[in-house]
This record gives sequence, C-alpha cells and structure tokens, in this order.
Amino acid sequence: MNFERETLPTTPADWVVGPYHSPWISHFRAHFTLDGEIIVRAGLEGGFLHRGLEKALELHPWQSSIVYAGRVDPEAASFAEHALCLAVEKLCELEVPARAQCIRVIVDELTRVSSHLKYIARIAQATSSETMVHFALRDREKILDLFELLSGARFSLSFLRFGGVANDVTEGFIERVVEVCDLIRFRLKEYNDLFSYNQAFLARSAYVGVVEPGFARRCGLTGPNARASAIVADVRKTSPYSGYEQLDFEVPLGQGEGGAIGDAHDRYVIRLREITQSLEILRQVCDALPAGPFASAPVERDFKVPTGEAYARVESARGLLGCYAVADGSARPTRVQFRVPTGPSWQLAPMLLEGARLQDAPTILASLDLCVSELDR
Amino acid sequence: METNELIQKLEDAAPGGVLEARPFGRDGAELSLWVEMGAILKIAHALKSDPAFSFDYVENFAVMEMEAALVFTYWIRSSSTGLPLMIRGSVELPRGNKADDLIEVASVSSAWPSVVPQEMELGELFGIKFIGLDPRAHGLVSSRLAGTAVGFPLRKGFVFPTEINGQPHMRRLTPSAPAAGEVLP
Repeated sequence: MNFERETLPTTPADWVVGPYHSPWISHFRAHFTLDGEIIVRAGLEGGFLHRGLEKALELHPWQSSIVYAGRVDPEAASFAEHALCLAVEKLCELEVPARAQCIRVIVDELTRVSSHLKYIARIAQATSSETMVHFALRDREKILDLFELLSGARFSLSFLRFGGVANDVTEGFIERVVEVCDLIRFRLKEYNDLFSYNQAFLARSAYVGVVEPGFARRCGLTGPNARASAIVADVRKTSPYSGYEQLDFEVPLGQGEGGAIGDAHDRYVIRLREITQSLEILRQVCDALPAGPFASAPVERDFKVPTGEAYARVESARGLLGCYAVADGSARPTRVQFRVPTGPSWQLAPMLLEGARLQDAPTILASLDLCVSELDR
Repeated sequence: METNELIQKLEDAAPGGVLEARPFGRDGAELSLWVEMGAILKIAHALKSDPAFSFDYVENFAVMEMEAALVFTYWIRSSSTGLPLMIRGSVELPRGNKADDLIEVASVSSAWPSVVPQEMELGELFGIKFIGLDPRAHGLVSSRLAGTAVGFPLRKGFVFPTEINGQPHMRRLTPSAPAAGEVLP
C-alpha cells in the first residue's frame, strides 16, 4: 500500500478545561484555542480557591495571624509563617534565640524537601510515570512523619511563634532527621536511575516550556524556576535571615543538560539538586544545634505590635516569599500582605503554552510548580 | 547609588514628581521615595531606562488603606546590581469613602511587566482601575462571577453581605463572628 503524507485541514477550536481536572495541579480553568493539537492561544483563570486570608488577617488578633499565614500555601506552610514572624519581629524588635533560629531552619528545609518531592510526583504524573509518583510520595511521607513528631500535625504546622517556635524539638527528633536525610540522599540516586534521565521523560520534558533568562527576569521570576533559567536568585544568599549566612551550601543553576537552559527538564533537575543542598543544610544544623531557649518570651493573648511597618523576605520552595506587615499599635494588624512566588509563574504560563502541543500542557504547568492556593489566598 | 543623584534624575524626568526620600522601617535599611502618583508612570520609565539605575523589575507591590487614602508601595530591584528601592505614593479616597468608589491610577505594567498579576489582584480587592493595564487581564474573580461581586473587600469600609447566592453569609450565622472592623475577644 502506498501511504501518502496528508495534511488534514483544521479549524480553530476553543477548549475550556477545568477548574476540576485531574492532570491540573490545582483548581483553575484553562482556556485554549487549538489549531489541530497546537495551542494557538491560552489563558488561565483562577479564583476558585479564594479564602480572603488577607482580610481575615485584619479581623483577628496578631496571635492568630500565624495560623492564617500558614494557609497561604498549606503544602509548604512554614515559609509564610516564617516571613510573617520576621516582619513582626522587626516591628517589635524581638530577638530570636539561636536555638529557635536553627529549629526554624530545620522546619523550612524539611518543608522545602517535602514540597520538592511533591513537585517530582506532580511532574511524574504529568508525564505518566506512575512508579515515580509513588516513589516520591513514599519518601515525602517520611518528612510528614517528622512534622508529626515535631508538632503533632502533618500539614499546616502553625509551629512558628513571634520570637521563636511553639515548642522545643521532641526527644529523638534530631536523630530521626539525620536518618531521613541519609535515606533521601540514597533515594535521589534511585530517582536518577529510574526517571531523571529516562528517555521517555527526556522526550516529554527537554526543550519543552523553555524560559529564556531575560524573559524570566522581566516577568520577575524567582526561586527554582528562575535558577533553572540560570538566574542567580536566592534570598538565603542575597539577604540571609535566621542564620543562613553561617551555613555552607550552593545555589544550583540550570545547565540545559537534557535540552535547553530553562526547559521543563531543567526545572525538574534544579529541584533534585536543591533537595541535595537542603539535606546538606539539615546535616549542618543538626550537627550544631545550640542549647538554649526555643522562644524569647511566650506570646500573650493580647499581644500588641507597636505602630510601624516592616517587610520581610524568605526563600520558599517556590521562590521569594515576602510579607509586608503594618501595625497601628492595636491587637490586630492594619494590613498584612504576601508577595507570593507563584504570581510571576502564573503570568508566564500562558506565554509558554502558546505554540506548544496540547499534550505538553500538563508538563509545562506541572514544571512551573504553580500553587493556586498562594494566588487565591 | 547616590540618593541625591537619583532624586535629581527623577526630577528631570518628572518635575515635581518626587516628594521626599525617607528610610523605611525601624532599621531604616531600605530607602523609600515618596512620589506623586500622577507622575508614577514617568518615574517608573525613568528608573527602568536610566542605565545608572536600571531598576528593571517589581519584586512586590502592596496597597493599604490608611487615613482616608490608599497608600501604594512598589518594591523594585535592579537585576544587574541587585539594589532595592521602594517607591511610595498615596491617593485620597473620595469623601465618605464609599466601599464601591473606584480609584484611578496609572498602571506601571508598561515599564515593569512583572507587576501585572499584582495590579490585577489589588485592582479587584481595593477597587482600583489601573489605567493602561491590559483589559483582558483578570485576577481573582472568575469570569463566571464577574459583575456579581459587591464592594471591595480590602477597603476598611467594606460591609460583609448578609447573604451569598441566596444563602445567609456565615459571618451572620455565627453569633461569635465579628463584624468588619470588630476585634475578636
């Protein structure tokens, strides 16, 4: 038989996908105009998860604000709690004991590893690698067990307090952290053997959703997405807080080893390398956890913050997370505003989708690590 | 970066646009420039295009209501030098501060595209019309709900609705829930 190559005539078709769609990472609606399987126009629509957190923060006492801050991103709650605590501590000129700072760093880095493992599970799901999904989630459970041992909660720990943390580390916690770090370091080799350089994954992620460095800068991209595009941007290095300046760690940058610098594969590889760096930070902090109090003073029910304003930055698992806090001397905030790292990625996503094939859309969206909860706060 | 040199260049670009330079926060580690909001777009382009400064992206943008005015704060940064700067300005609310009065302010998205998501979000929450922002852009309110929202929730004068979609609002159902502006015991 003689098969001739044939071009089928297509007419643009409008697709609306979501807000509840299993390959999507969270609740949002995508509007696509398709020409065949090519996305010629794309738009993302949020607003399905909005909880009015910034308004709620204005209506409740300062003491409750840590719980609300944790809901900005429930999957990685400690970062917003940390940013809020730093801003309030600036306003109150509260000293944070060295031990409390180290415990905060431990919680942050465990959260970063947990968030990146969930990211790996999501991108594996988007590329139909079911085994890798289970591997990553299995290892993330170990981190959640540690959170439970520390605070009693697996998610939304609400563990930080103004001037320190809620409790000292529980007995055996530090030893368990070291054990889990060793285990995950070993597992990362398994991930590489099974998934990272697997031809099937490379074919789905290399040269897909490429973000040029200049473009990333213009969009205000931060965190691992910016670093995958070879932009040096890490708050832990540029504006250190909570003792990060005393720790020895590297900031990995994208090298385009699977395809091009700043593609979906680079964004995945960067997170793997960041897990390695987080494990290194955890080892250093666990080795040198100082003795002393875990908080400067207990926060009273009628805790008041002196009149003023402050802005604090932390490096969350997704990038720069800022917190702007304004106080009028009363028991509740005048304004608390969060700068979330998903904002620029959300703005960027439709531009990456336009011109891509429809089957690459879940990979592009998963590789950007969009957190709709941060946006719809 | 010399503060005086910066102010002089901004004065050249937007005469009368810079009101004062003031350190921000208790530690005063960051410099804030208070500007006329009417000149914000010219100032934004001057800060971006002058090679001596090249403040090329907005790290954060916040709005708050204080003393019958909306205060706008832009945290900007230069990607080449890493230097930060804060640009601040205020716009008085109309008399009576009705929670549904729109305020008009120039969008700085033509100078700093990274501000778009935050302008969209704050426009919807504070009732600000950013002149020059892409009208197709929408932030929080789903197209399904567009036009059904009443008032702007982050204004201090916002009154919670008594019902939503025919159902009593949860703040009215719970006796202990505070009304807007009330502090929980």
